[in-house]
Amino acid sequence: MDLGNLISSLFLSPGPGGVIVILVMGGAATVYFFLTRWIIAGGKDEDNH
Amino acid sequence: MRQAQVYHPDNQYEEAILDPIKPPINARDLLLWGGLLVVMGIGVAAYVRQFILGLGVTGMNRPVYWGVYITNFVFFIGLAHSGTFISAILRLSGAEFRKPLARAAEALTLFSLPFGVASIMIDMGRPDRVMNVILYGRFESPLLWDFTAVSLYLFSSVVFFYLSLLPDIALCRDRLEDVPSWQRSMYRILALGWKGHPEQFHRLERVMDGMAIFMTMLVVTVHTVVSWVFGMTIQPVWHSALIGPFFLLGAIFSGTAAVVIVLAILRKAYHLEDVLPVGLFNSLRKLLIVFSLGWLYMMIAEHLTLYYGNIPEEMEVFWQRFTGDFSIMFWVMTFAVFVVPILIFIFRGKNSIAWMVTASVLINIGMWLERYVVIIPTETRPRLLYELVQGSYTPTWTEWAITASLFAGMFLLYSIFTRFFPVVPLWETAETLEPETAFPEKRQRGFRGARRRRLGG
Repeated sequence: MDLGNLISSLFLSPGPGGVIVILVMGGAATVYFFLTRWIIAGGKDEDNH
Repeated sequence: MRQAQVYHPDNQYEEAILDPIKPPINARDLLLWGGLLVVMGIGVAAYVRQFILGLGVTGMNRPVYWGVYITNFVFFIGLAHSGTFISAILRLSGAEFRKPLARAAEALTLFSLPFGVASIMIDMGRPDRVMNVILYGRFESPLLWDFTAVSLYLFSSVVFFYLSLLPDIALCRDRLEDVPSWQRSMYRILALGWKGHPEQFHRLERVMDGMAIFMTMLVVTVHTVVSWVFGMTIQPVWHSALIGPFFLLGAIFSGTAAVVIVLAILRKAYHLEDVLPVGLFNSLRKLLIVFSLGWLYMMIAEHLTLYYGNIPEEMEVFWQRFTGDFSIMFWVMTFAVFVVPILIFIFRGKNSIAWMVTASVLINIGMWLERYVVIIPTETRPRLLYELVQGSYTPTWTEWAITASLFAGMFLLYSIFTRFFPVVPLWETAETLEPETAFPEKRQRGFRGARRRRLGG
């Protein structure tokens, strides 16, 4: 398998660029969602006791 | 399970900061919003006409493919850097004076970025093809880098802004009892059940610190990538390693100047003289002096290198700026961005908000002209055809109407925001942040840690 060709084609072919955009934005959305949930959950356990 | 208590930090300026939000929408608000909507309406009508008739209704032609719209794009992205600079970069450096300014600056980021993105869409003859970036995107294209960086920056700015607003939304939820029910419901939903627990503050501080680092990296990336849309072509003057840092510095410069204007307006309109004292403007004045000198350095570095290189294609553009078709604009820009403001900052700006605003308005007019002077002269003298083609470009009323509507849209969103949310962060400027009274039995590690950081301990 020509790894160099594969990596090169990721950059040169139409399509993979869009996938990277979706991955970046999707990844950010996931991280921000869980961070916000984590902040809001602060102290919840102690309140429930 | 018993009902948990809610804690809000004490802030002696709470009344003053919440006062602008309390009154119902009045005739003054409606007049302002109505006026801005009219300007926006004219722009929308102009855009519909452009969409139907095509880009021929603009001044763009062969070989000038980018005009006022792309100038606006770069300018709005530049304005958007104010929030990240004031909020994230100064947060990391521990500059205490940034706290009262942070939200006004972040809001500027939030409400200018969408209009930067819109400028790109407006510039496209076929905006329906924007999805092609996703469907057929090639990652070797700087346009795709731009799309990715600006989208991520907009998204991250929204999250950064919202998180810093969260404790204050909860405060609005609990303190503003006379506002309409829909407004209370909005606060309740947006507060996400915030209780002001020490652990919540601790986690919020940790996330904000982490995001500040990330946002700082993003701000550098975004404007560098914006500049690379030009710099990665081999057009004269654009194809320079200096273009990235120059764009970045210009962005932070114009953004900081815009913050001065916004703060002065908010201070006057909402009677926030005690909350936003003159000292804050003096701190911004020092920053602006540094940026002015940095801008001058970049200007000299760029043009001196061009002059000594003496490459014929580049000298065409060089002389276009200094003595040719764009010379008036170039020299007005130089005086507006550097000469007059630096004199004002040094001799008149200290303790004078009026002079600071004058200088900041000049800087922003000058920085818009700078973007124009960077973009258009190169297009009128493209590299391959500079001996054969001498392009020209005059913006049409369509472009000016759409430009006015973009600025009106930004002001509209900003003014609506300031009527419903505190423009000065209450929790970040609070002088007593002890939640012991509300949570006597809870561990205080988180909150004390956060307070130590505030006090520089």
